[in-house]
Amino acid sequence: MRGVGVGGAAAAEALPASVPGHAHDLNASFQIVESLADPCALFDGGGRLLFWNRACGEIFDAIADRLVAGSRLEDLVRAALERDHCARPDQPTDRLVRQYLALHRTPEGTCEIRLRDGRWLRIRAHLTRSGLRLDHAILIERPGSQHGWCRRSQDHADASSDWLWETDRELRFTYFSGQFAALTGIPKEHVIGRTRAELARAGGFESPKLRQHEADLEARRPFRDFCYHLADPASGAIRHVRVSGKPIFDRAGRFLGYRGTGTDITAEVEATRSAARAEARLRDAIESINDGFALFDEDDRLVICNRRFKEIDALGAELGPGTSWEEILRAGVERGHYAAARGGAEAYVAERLEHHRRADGSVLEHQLADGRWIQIGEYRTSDGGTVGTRTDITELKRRESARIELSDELRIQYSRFNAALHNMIQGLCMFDADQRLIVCNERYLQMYGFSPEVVKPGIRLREIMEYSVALGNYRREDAERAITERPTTADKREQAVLHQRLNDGRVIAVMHQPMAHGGSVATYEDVTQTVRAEEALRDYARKLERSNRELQDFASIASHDLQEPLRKIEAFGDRLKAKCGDDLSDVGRMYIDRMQDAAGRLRSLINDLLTYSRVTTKARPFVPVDLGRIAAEVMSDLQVTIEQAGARIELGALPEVEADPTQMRQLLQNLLSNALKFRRPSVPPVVRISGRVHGPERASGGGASLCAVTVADNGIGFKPAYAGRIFGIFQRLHGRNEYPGTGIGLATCRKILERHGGTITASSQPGKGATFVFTLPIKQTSGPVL
Amino acid sequence: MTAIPMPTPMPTTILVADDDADDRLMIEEAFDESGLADEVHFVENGEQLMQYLRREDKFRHLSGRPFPGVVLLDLNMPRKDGREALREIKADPELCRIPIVVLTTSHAEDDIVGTYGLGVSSFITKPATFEGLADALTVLCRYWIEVVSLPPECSRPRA
Repeated sequence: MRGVGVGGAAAAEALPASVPGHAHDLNASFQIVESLADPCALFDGGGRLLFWNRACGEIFDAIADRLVAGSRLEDLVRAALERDHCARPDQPTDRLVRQYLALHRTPEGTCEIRLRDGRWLRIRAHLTRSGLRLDHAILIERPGSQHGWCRRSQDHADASSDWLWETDRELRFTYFSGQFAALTGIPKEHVIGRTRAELARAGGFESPKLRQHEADLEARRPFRDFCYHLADPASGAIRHVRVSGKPIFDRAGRFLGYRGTGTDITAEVEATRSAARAEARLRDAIESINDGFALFDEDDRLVICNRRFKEIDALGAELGPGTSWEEILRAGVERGHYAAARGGAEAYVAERLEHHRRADGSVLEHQLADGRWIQIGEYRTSDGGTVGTRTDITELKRRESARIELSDELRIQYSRFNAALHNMIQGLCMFDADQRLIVCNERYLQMYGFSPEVVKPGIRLREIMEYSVALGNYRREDAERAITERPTTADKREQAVLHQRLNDGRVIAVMHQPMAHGGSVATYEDVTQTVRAEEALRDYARKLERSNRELQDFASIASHDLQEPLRKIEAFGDRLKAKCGDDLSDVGRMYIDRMQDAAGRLRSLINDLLTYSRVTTKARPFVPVDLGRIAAEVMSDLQVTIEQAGARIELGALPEVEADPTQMRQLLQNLLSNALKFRRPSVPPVVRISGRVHGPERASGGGASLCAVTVADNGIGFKPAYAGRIFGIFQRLHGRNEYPGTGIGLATCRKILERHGGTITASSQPGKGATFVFTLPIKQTSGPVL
Repeated sequence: MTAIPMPTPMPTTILVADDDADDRLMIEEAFDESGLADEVHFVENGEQLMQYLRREDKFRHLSGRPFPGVVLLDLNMPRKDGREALREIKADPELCRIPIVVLTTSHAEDDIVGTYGLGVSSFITKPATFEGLADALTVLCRYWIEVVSLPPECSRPRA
């Protein structure tokens, strides 16, 4: 494709008439040049156009208006470049202009430029002898330039949805290349004559970017990639476009308008938007799952993760997308976030990295420092990335360990149960709700002589009884009665005990205890010995009671009946002495005296014995008794004795107790009389009576408070060995002629205290006085002890 | 005691009901020594006591005589004891005003409370010694014979 040109008359006419000399030669030269098929142009030394041939005019038709004699080379070049007539796509316009001007100044220079239609021109500049410059261009083929520039440009524009546009000074569109309407579906008539801002606003586009764009235009700044949208006036459909442009100025620097390219990016915008929507949905979905979730790309950098993942792996704000997994992991280890890493951080990191690298869907269970258990799952994605999931399994773990503990506990319990079952001294059976045997122990079988082949789990209670009757353990009617009397689970919730008498004389205590879920547990205990012992004991108690009663009656009646003859002995003794005394000798009178003396002692014995027996036979109910008051009354009763003995009684505070007042009086009187009686000769008696109350914590064997009363004297005392004996009936430590008495007083004291649930003890050393201490419950909890 | 003046000495009978021969002897001697009673009669049980008072059987001969001025009654006697006799006497409109003094070995509270409840005039436990008995009976006779006024049937012959 070679450009051809025919010389034009117009060119010849443009020759300056003022060119000195050589006119003929010149004319001939013009003819030659005009005929050349290669474009040629002649410039004077100042770079102004003198002449150009027809081929030149055809090649540079885009600047035909500029091809005027006298035009400056620079303007021509610039115009050609700016009108996209020719270009070096790889070089900016200004640089090309400079290169071209530089070419002109060298004696012999060449440059290559590309035309709009894709053809390439190689231009040679020749310096003529007359100082003129002849630019001679030839069309050349360049490697890879099989398409013309225009064609290629069009292709580019098509490929990138490009179109071309121009505006006038008022920024109104004057030109759109044909692609615009085809791509956007918006007819050119709609846009020609309107400004971009008008179109954008008409399409509903309003944004700071638009105002920035307007400011750029106002300032005549070039702009790139301004995106906006406009509406199809027919359908109302929105088209998104991206435009770039630059201002055009004439030589004088006057603003001519903008020129630029545009691209329909509707599909791209919609794709981006739907991608954003899809991503937002994905993000929402990821956030909505309860597990931690993270996606890593093939380089193991975090792409996306949900909040749960951040929380579980303790991702700081700085560990966002783009952070590598190892960084995230190590940051967590450093913060002490993983309890499992405490054993060795590197080993832990290695294990986690290995698991992450494998990403085969297997799970790891790790504990966090806060105690939570996390299950980690890692999976390979189809594009070589990795998905990590984190599940909080703390509760699961807890339940699992509780289950394990429970089952351990159950096993232990079962073995304990078994050991207990077979080592029990009692027989034991467990029956289900249908009264079928669940389990029984060896002892049960032995007790009734049962064969384990017969009495085994599943057998009914009734069948066991039939079997037992057949073995001769008991009679059928007894078994029937036991069954009818046996409590059913419906009406009885508590245990029931019945005594079963076997034909061989043994007694078995059978205890039924209903179980919570129906059925019952029965225990069998051979209580033959116990029952016999109880029966013997009851029998003994009955006999003892009778014997006691007889003894009491005997003591009481005997005392009464003994008194009658005694009274006669005494009375007739008196009569004898009174009426016949004078007839008797001294010896006779002495005999009467001894008889009277013996009768008096017998009277004392009988009276004391009566008192002793009356502790129980004449007992009165317990009422509140002020022991201090009783003691004062006793002292008053004994006033004569006290005065005669020259005794001093120190009476301390005594408590109030529940007691039989008559007996309390008897008690204190006996003790005080004893203290006065057993005084040391020539030592005035001093008796101290004092009381103390012990709280229930110090009272042995019961919950009640006790009082302790001490009666201490400075009398003759006694050997400690006798301390127990003196409370026995008729026990005396001294001869009658030394100290009178029957030896029943202290026995009566003990009997009174026993009846009141109290005690009495004595301590002494010979010659050092005696101390009697008795205790009494402050409150009587039960009836008197008989 | 002899200092107390004796206004109009009236023949007064004292009846003693006691099953114990020793006691009867002792009582008789005590009355003898005191010299206060004109006449002391003895019965040996409750049955005889009632016959005496109702003038029955061997006591018919007493019919028309005044009732005893006071009856000394032992409680524990065979056949009919003192308590039963007492109940009968107090239930009998003719006999119920005769003063009854219990003289017994018992000093049981039940007996004291019970017999006073039945309307006895005094309750005396037999003293152990003869002197005691003699003293008690002297005081008793003075009181019942010389101090108190008796209902007419006890001091006047019955019609």
